[in-house]
Amino acid sequence: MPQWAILLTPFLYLGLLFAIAYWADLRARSSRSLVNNPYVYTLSIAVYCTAWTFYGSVGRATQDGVTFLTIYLGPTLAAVLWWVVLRKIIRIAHIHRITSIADFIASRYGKSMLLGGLATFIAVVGITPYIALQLKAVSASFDVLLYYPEATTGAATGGLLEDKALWVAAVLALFAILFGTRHVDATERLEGMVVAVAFESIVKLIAFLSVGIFVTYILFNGPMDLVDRVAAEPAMREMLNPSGLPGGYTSWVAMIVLSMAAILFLPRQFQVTVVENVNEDHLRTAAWLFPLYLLLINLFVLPIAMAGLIYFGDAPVDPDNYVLALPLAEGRELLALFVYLGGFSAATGMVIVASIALAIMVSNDLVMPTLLRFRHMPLIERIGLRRLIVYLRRLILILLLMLGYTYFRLTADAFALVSIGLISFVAVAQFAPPILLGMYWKGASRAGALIGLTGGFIIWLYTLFIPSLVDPAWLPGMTPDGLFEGLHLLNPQALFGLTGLDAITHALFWSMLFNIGGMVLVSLFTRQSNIERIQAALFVDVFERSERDARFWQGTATVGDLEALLARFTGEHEAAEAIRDYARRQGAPLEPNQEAPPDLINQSERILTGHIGSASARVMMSSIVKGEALTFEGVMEILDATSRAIEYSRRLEQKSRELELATAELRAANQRLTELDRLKDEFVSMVSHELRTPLTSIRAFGEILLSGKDINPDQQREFMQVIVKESERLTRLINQVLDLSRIESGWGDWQLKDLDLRGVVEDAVSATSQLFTDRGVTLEWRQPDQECPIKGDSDRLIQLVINLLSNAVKFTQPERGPVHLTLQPLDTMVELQVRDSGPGIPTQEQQRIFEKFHQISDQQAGKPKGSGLGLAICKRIVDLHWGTLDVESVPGEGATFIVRLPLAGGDHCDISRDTEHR
Amino acid sequence: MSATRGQPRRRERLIALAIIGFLLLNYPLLAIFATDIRVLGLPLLWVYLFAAWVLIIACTGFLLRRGRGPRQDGQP
Repeated sequence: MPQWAILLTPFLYLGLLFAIAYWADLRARSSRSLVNNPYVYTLSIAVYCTAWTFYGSVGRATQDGVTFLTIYLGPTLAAVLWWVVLRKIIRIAHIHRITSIADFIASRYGKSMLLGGLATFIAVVGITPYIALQLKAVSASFDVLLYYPEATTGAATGGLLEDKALWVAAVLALFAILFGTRHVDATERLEGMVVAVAFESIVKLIAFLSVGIFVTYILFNGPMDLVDRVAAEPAMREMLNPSGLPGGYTSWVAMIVLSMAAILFLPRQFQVTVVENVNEDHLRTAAWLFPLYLLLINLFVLPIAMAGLIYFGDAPVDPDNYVLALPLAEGRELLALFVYLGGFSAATGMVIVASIALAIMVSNDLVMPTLLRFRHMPLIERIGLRRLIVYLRRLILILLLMLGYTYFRLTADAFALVSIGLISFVAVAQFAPPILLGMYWKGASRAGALIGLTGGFIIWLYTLFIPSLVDPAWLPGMTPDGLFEGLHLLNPQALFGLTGLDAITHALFWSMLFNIGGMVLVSLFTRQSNIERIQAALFVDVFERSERDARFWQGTATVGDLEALLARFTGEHEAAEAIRDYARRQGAPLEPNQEAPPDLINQSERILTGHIGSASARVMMSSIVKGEALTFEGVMEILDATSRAIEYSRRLEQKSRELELATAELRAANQRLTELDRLKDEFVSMVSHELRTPLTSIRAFGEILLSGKDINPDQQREFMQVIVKESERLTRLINQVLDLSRIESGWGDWQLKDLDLRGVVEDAVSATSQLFTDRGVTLEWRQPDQECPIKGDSDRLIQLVINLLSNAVKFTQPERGPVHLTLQPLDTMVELQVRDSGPGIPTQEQQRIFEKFHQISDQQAGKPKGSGLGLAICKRIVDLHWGTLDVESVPGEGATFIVRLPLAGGDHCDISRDTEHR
Repeated sequence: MSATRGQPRRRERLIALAIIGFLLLNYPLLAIFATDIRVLGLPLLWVYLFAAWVLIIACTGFLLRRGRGPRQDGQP
């Protein structure tokens, strides 16, 4: 492949990245954001896999076997806890507008400038080697691609301008400047950067998988073949040796713990997981998908390592470069180029995110606090603070990359890829105690964090960082029989005489001991200031408190002052917008010379925090707010009052909901009672009316008989008959009223039994046979062959059939034909039909005939022939037997009453005694 | 009700899973698998590590699956 093509490809690739980032930024501005997506979020977290993963893992695997996996198993375990721990960090960061690890620590410990600055310093010193590592990887892999097989040791050669790493660093700085310093407000998302990084994550994964598949399955015959061949070579067996977990299990545990801390507290991880998080819910996906990504990208590391060992044997090929060298040696130049791009992606993604995260940290927590001390310098005011911040960040970005490059030039040949990365891991692990303790222990104090961080950092510098930079012989105690014989306790590789640990475990142990120990002990013996206690409470209880509760300012500032302050950092338009926004939410316009409400002061401080960091924001606010900040007790009182008020109103709401419910129930019950009362009144008046009719005629005839004159015996006899008949009617009526009221009261004295409806009907037919004979009407009664078992009270059911039959006979003229009675069992019920050939029932009356005392007035017979209670009683009986009573009728052709009763054994039979009114 | 009760349980389960995972991937359980035995032609330790890894990932996904509790919950 021509050299110019190889030279051009990475820059073309960077151009593609520019395009993607630009496009993502465009989409974000037209609010079709690509970032609000759990998969983009997960892929951006995969910035964790750097060139170290891409090239270094193979190198490490050739020496130590599976140990390289610890760096990925740790994050897997940490991801399990993301929903618990990281979600809390994200919530805190979003509420307090925190944009970096340093700011998180500073804000937690009373918005301390000193702590913020210290954390920033640690991060910069700790991460610079890591950036250098990426530059080294880019440069080394490039050399392999260009000069294979001549120069494969990855040394930085040639002059400054010929060094590709410098050019790459310059382009990356440009990228970071373009997509990382667009907004001053660091809480605004860098969508272009995130999408570009997510894209790079896809490229590196596919690249690694392709070379893995190529090497494992095309070059060799699968992983089993590789294992067999390695096992056959005594020189390589070391790699398979299972008891060969170098450094033993202590080192294994240390690596897992170290990488657990790294996935949370590396500045670039904090940037993508916390600052760029759009929705906490994305963690649900990321917590399993990200470990899966790690697993996939590591799947072929061991096969490639084995293949490299077998393939190259004793040839001078750096194991770190096996990934590239294998396809090159096989003449697969395009695959090699693609693999190179994968590694390039891994390196550039890390450099871009890490440098942007560091630049925000440096500008907000190191430079800005210093600048604000000289804030009356006329020059600063003339440039404008806002623009100054942007220029500062750009300058810092360039300086950071230059720093990384310098470190790379200084130490390029000294280390394999992995060990440089681990040095950085130990540095960021120093952030774990102040952040984790600070999030769960209110007692952690500023002084404790300061002592702990300083102690841990000094240990790290002494035991890891300085030995990586300079000749160990310069250090005291390095040579046991050298100059500082008495000081061999200070040997950086065996501090205080502790031997038997590898360098990383050794440094991790001592730094954590000093860090956690110092932090806890000092915290236990110091008093926290008011602001520390307030911030501690807000951080620890972030899920329990609402975001707008926290007010620190008791003093006063005018709205105009606030707006002017905001405008200096955020721009006039944004400042005015923020004030207007607040006024809109409060529903009242704010005048410039009006006193600003505490809420607004607090909110302004948070806006400033997003731009210049929490410590500086506090300083700026205190410059315009007159009067004292609230004490811890004051703030807590407000917080508690608010939460109490919320609690009260919540309970009130609940109470009023319950009351509403009870009221509705009462209203319904009242309605029912009124209705029943009305029905009762109606019933009473109807009964009285019905009783009066026969009584009147009895009395009238009685009076005639009493007067006694001019009545012939025939007439007298006739009158007596009327009186008897009317009395019978009266008796019948009273009996029926009594029946009805008994039935109305529900099951009462009923005898619920399984019985055969055929017997019931038989009884009723024989009871009414006299009636039929009297009127000369025939009854056609067809008895079914099957049983008709139902559950019910036989007396009531006989009454039901008798009522229906007598009703039918009453309205049937003998000459019109017989009354039909049929009984047939259906699927789940028994149907009983009584058909007469009477005048029929008009449609509009069909529903009302079942009402009490309803009598069809328009009858051929002219005069009603019953009490009007018969059908009401029937209806009630059927209802109580869980059945239905319907009527079908064509006027002039008769009517059919249909009773349907459920068969015995159905669901209804569970209710043994239904005492409820139905 | 079930939502508010489900949330703290998820937290506890995740913590338990993290502890189990940490135990699975460390001494002394790891030492059981650090032998010369081969499974499917691969060293047992390699197979074990990747299997445990897959198991932890699957369990995490299972515990964090959606539909257990409201989306916009405020409680940890």
